[in-house]
Amino acid sequence: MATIEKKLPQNCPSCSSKMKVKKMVCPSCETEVDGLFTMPLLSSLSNDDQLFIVDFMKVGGSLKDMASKMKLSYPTVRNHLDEIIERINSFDKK
Amino acid sequence: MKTWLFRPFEFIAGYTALFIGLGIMTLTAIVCAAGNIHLDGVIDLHAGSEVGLGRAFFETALNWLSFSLFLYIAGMLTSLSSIRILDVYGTQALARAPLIIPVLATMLVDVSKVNAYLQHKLMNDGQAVTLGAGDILTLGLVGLLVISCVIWTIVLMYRAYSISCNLKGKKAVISFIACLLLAEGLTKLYTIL
Repeated sequence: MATIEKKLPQNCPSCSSKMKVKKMVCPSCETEVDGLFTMPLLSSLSNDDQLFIVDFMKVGGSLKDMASKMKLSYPTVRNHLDEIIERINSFDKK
Repeated sequence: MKTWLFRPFEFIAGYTALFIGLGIMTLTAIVCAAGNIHLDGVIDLHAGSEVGLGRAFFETALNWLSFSLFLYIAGMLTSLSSIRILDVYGTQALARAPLIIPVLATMLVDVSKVNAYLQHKLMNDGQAVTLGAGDILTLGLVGLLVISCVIWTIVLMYRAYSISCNLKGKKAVISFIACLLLAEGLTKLYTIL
């Protein structure tokens, strides 16, 4: 059976409000932490965008290195980064 | 394959695009001089009158430099991204690569014969020349190839502009057409003067 990649829901399926984290569990000792935690802003991005940001940090924020890592041209990578920045700005406005 | 034909700039830009583009533009200018073909406009191609090597290089360079400059200015005015001039000039140089195909194909046509035929037919001037079925077929095929390659070049030029300046939609289309008209006007002005 194929494994399904679970996505962290951002908005409430009922009222569409922004979701928060209520409970966290340690998978090895099963300790549970209960509370109300705000989700980080970056979790609102798609998995691909999050991976892009992680890779971008790993190459020290160099678009040139990122372009050679992704085997894409410099402006293509810059445009991708600009789109992510635009999305983050739109989350900020909300 | 389709991406490489119509969106090569997703993979190539900057110095790589510039050097490949300049190499193909140099070859195009040499073929233009050899075949007496004028690139007297950003997307124009005319055969007939004599073209020296210097003039062929000048026309090719003027088309590329002027159009890229207009696009760079338009990009600076309309885009929110930080644009590199190297990407604009590099991708525009590479976008002109398909023009070598119609330039080579035009050499297959006996232009002086076609000109003499048209001159006699339309203006009743000069000696009567008849075009054989082979001539007409060659002319038709070359004409089709020229139109296809010019359209391909325009598509590449637009994609190059869109990627290098991070512009999409109406803003990109309108500014691209405006730059094309301005550059075409400038290059034509040179031809008239």
